[in-house]
Amino acid sequence: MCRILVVDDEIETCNLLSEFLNRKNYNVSVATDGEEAISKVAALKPHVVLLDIRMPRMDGIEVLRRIKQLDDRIDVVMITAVNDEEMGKMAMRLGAFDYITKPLSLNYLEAVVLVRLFMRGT
Amino acid sequence: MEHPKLLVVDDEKTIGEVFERALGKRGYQVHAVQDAGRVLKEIESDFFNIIIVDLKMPGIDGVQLLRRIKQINPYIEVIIITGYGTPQSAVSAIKLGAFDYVTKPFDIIEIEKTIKNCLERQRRAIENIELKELVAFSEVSKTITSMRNVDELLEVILVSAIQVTKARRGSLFLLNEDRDELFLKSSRGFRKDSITEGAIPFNRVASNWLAIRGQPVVVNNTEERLDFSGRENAWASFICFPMASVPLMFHGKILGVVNVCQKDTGDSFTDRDLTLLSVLASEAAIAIENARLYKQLQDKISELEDTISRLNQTQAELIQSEKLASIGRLAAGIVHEICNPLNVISGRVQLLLMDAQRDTHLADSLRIIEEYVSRTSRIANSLLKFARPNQPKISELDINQQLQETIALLEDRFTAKNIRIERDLSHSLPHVSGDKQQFQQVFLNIMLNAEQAMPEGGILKISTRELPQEHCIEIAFSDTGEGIPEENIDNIFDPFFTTKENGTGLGLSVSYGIVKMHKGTIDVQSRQGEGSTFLIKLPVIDTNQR
Repeated sequence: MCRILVVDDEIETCNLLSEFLNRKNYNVSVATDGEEAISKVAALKPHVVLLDIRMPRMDGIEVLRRIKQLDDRIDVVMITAVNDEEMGKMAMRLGAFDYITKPLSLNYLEAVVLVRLFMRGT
Repeated sequence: MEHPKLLVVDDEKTIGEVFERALGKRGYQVHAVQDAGRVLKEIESDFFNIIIVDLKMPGIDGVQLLRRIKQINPYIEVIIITGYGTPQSAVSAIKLGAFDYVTKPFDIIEIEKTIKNCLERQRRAIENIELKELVAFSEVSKTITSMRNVDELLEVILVSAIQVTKARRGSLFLLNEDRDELFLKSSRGFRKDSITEGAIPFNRVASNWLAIRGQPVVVNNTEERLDFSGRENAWASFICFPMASVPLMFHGKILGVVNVCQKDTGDSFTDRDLTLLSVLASEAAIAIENARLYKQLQDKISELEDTISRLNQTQAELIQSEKLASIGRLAAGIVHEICNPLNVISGRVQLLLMDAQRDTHLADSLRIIEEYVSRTSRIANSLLKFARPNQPKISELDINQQLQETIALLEDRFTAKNIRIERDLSHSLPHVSGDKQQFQQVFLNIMLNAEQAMPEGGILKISTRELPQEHCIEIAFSDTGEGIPEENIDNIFDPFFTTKENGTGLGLSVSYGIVKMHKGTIDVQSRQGEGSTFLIKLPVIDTNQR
């Protein structure tokens, strides 16, 4: 089963995404800050990380960099409330799989995950 | 009057001899003639204080002669003498201006008393005239010193110089800055074809010689040769009439020259003329210098006013850009704060929609919520354009083409709303450099604005032209809509300022930001009920730097 880690400092966002992805039969875990995200990536080895950019203490870009250092096979989808072209480009250069903006279209989000699974043959 | 000049006219030679003998040794210059016809010639070439005329002479009578003398020169006094006086002839002589009427035989002592009284009256009369002239002259001075326009001033100076000296003609020259040439500024009484326009070299005219020396000069005897330092030849061709010239000098600096020539009376120019002319010239020079300073001052003031108005404009623009920038900084934070909760709302609605039966009231409501959530997020995101404007992709653009593309996008929509688009695009419009999409966004915003202003339809005129002086092009959008109320016109480019029900109030302020970023200006002119015109100016590409 595909493992997905949702990282967002806003707990309701985490609840929303895990409820949706659970319905779609994914194995969902949640982290509400950068530190927690890094340790859960190491412990759970998720296939996909849905990662908020703007978070207190450690921001999403830094988390992305560390995840890619740990295991660059993990696909990271960046999620942002503030659409910023420069930030998006930077994330893609650092190896993000996609860059999508809030409010999210849940159907689009699932499509992104499915594309990832298809490409990786998981 | 040290040696008053008397002319005695009597066909009896002895009468003249009596006057010459008796008055000659008393300090009078006495000249006697028997022929009345010679009198007029004599007074044309010489001045006499008093003419003593016999009433009865062959060919002409004394009263007729009196009339002629007074016509030629009213200042000459006349005393009539007669052997057979009648009260009538005495009365008519006095009426015609004779000083007295004396019957023969006469006592020479008595006559001398009469002559003295007559000379006294003449002296007073001349003084009186001179005084009147001085009063008039001081009025002229006052007028001159209060004048501010240099050209008008020069005219008045010349006319005054001519009047003061009773000359027939005159000219006024000004020296140009590098002191090489004189320019004729004004002239009176010369034939058009005898006037040399423009610059005159120094050695051409009498006055130029003066300009070098800075001295007043009178030339009455046209045969006269003065030492003109080798310039006699140039002089000879010029001086045909008596003339006087004075330099216009200010603090030792020569500004120009005033010339007058040929007195009305045919007389010579006197020392008094030259004195008056010199006084006038010194007043005039001060006035000219003042007028020039005044002009400089005016120029400086208008330069300052220009600077101030440019500063005000710049300040207004700064305030506007600063307003946009601070809104932008605020916006990034606001968008983040809004979009996170929106994301949760939107996500929850999407989940509910997945559960809801299709075509139920609940599903409809959820879709409406979803639509409004996405609209809110669009508004929030458009705010971001202030915070982080997309990097413009600069290229060389034909604005006409950009306009055509934007028009093509909207034309069907406009036709449906009964709005006609009129194009008046310059065929030779220089290119500008800028971001194609951003320009189209600006044009779209303004055209949509025009559409809103014409709910009943109308005409939108779009024109372009080059403004070569300002090195820019101008794009004008004129609608025939309802116009912008005066109280709104200052706010129209402010963010969030809107009069539309569904407007965000960002369209025009985004347009403002874009035009500013391209170093252009955007302005609006509007009158309520008559429509609005948006004017955009954009700098053209500098071909030298290409």
